[in-house]
Amino acid sequence: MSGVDVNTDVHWRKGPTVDVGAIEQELAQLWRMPTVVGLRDTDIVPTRTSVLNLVVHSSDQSIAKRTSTIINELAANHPSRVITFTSTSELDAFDDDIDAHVSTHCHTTSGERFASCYEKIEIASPPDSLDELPSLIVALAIPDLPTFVWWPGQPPLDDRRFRRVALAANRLIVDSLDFEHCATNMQRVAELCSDVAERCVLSDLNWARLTPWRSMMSQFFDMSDCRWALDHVTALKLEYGHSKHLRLNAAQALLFAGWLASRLGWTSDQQSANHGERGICSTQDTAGNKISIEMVDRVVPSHFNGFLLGATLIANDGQRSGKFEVSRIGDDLTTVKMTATLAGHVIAEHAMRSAPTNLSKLLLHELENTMPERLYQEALAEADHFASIINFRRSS
Amino acid sequence: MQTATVENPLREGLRLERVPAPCAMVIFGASGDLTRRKLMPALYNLAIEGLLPSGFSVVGYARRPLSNEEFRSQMREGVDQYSRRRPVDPTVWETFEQGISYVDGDFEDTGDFRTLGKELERLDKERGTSGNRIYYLAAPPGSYQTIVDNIGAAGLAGDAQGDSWTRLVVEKPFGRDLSSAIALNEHLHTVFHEKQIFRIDHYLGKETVQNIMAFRFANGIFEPIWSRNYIDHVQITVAETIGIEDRGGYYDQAGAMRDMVQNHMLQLLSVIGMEPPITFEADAVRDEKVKTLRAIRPIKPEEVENYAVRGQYGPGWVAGLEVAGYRQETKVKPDSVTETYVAVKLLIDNWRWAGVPFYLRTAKRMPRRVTEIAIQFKSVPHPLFKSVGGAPLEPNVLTLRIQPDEGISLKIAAKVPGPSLHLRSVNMGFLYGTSFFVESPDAYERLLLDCMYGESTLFTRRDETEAAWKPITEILEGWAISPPSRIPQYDAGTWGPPEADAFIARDGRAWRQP
Repeated sequence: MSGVDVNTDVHWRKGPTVDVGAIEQELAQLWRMPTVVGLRDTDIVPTRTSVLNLVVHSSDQSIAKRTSTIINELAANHPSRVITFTSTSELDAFDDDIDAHVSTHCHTTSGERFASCYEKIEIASPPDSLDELPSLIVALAIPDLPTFVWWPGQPPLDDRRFRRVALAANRLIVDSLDFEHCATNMQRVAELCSDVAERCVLSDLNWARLTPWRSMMSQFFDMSDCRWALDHVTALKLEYGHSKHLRLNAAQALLFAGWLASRLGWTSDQQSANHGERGICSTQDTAGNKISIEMVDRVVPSHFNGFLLGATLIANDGQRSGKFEVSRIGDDLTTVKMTATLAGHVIAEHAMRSAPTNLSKLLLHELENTMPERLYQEALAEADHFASIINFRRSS
Repeated sequence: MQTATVENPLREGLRLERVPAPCAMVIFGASGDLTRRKLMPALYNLAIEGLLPSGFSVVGYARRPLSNEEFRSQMREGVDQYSRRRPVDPTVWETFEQGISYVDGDFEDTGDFRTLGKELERLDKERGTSGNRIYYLAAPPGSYQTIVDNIGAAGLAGDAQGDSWTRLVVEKPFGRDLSSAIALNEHLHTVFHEKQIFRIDHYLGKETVQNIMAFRFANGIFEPIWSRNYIDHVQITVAETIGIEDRGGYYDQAGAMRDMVQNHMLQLLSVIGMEPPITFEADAVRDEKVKTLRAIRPIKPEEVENYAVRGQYGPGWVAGLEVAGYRQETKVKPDSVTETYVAVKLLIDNWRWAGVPFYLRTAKRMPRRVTEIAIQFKSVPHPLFKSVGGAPLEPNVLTLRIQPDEGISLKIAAKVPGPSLHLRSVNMGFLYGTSFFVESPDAYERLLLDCMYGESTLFTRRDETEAAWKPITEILEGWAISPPSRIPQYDAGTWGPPEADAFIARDGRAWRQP
């Protein structure tokens, strides 16, 4: 038997405001209905476990459609109350009738005797609902459980009211891969991060995408023979994907460079901006030696737009030289090869499968974590700095 | 900051705080099933996830003459068939297989071990394995002592080269009884120190078994009721639907008691019964487990019938398929009295568990595949309510399910809606799979990686192995003194012989049907 999804009947509430009491009542009714036990004729037992509130804001229907499948995957694994807000231009303001749709969903995989169930509240809201949103999040969330707000697409980072949305959540999840002007927005994310730090953790899915890259680059320096190189980096070259039909997005490359800079104590060099050559700048190591940083784009299929494709660290201390390279290879770019070279000799080389992590897995990782990410914040600060001195700001 | 002299600063915040040091793993008995089905797929899975150190190498050692290429090809077939990460990534395999080589050698021939030594030296030089070695005994148990002797004779056993290390992984069965286990331990100690020996029990590598410790020691509400004051008895069930497959030769010598109870089930018992360790470090955890095993009440030969019952499956139906009886299986003697079902009652004589029986039950060809630990609490002292149908109300049962549907459920009494005050039992369940997405690694992956780290918490220490053999040996000796005129039979696809039901009924209890 393959997996089974059982969804309850749909209930709609329509009215001038979101009636939180009515929504709760409808949900309670749904849990009592035999439809929740659409599994009733089987020996599968529905289980209701609530571990978190997941709030998803979609600024249009296309984003809502894209997120819908992911929400199902997430909620099946992290049973939750899911609350979706989808902006629709059919509603001009919040005083128009609001559509609220409540449902319960049960999922079981092959051979299992228990189905995991979650409940979903879907609200269609007017395009500008930033005033109302925080209060609705607080009112609709199950108390005493963490609340995660996922904001796919371009969040209104320049709108002061967006801070209140962040403060209504325990964690606000954005994705700088979706940013329209990544360089400008890196700065705004850094400011928001700092503003709401006391109450809310801000995370960027693009930072999570870099975890395997950080791990692979780190692995070279677990070898004691290579550790010296971290003190004598002379150049860092980063390559990232750019699809012809999409906007250039260097956020991953910036964050990766920011991470290295923050971990290795590289200091900013405001004079190092090189406005002549695209994607080149420099910084200094702890001894004041210059490190050249190059970020170049390479043409890729659209699903690799903005993704890091290669990272090469070059080191030289006058007597020793080393090159440490991680790069995507193969026709589908899903295999990564790591090569460490000392004095021209390859001392370690291996490959591993590393397809870009899909969105639902990235989100699942975020849902398991409510702790502040100091490393991200430090990398972001450095990334913001690189964004300000490297000259792709205009195009990205 | 001079990073060359400190820990790798790039590791901070990453899932793995470190990766193991480069090493070579020698698999003795590399042409066998274990290597192809379990070890190599597990190593490949670690490779594909980037968890193996650079330069990691595998040396297969077996009698069969094979070239490196032929051995690699066989291992590739095993990975193709059994890895959980299929299809195999050709580029990952290409770099992984660069580290695979083969030495055809006899377990008895010291000269062949010297050849192995040269191969390991080559790897140290060319792949940077730096003298770090793991010897994995995947060979028949009868050859363990010879292999270990020859490792020692060839000078391959020591932690001789500066910071390098050498470890020995020993697969079950670890002896046939207490005396053979002691003899084997003593023999291993002539060549290896205890800290170098990693006795593997793959049950301990299962996430859900580790979860038992998390459940017990990270939740304050259970500890106060985890004792004879509130618990009536414990039932540990390991039920398999499969028969003995192609292991007739081994199984007919071993039986369910040696194959499952002595190792896996007593490990589960010790995890349930242990006192809280002072830390979660290897020896602290194992100290407590050993204390529990040592507290198991001795069983006199003439009392064995009161503590154990056995059975053997006959023909029957399992999941809609007609299956042969045990005596009809390949490589099984037609008059075999080897048990494929065993149920044991063990009493732990300490303050926590005095008077609380632990019933352990395992069998082949059961109707359902399930591993669970059910902790049945005492009934309320004075019943106030009627249950539905007038039957006595069931006591609370906390069930820790190991597989499948890993999770925890608690059976509680609840009022049936309506004007009268009738109660019935309901299950309140929690499934790990519905709260955590991360795919659990295979037990062998976890254990192999732990061995590379030198982390021995999930491996069995010498005294633990011997303490586990003691009650088992007492039962086996009791059975040997009075061999059965007939071994109780049960139809394949049922929950065991009637004698087993009578065995537990004598205590006023009944087996669960999980």
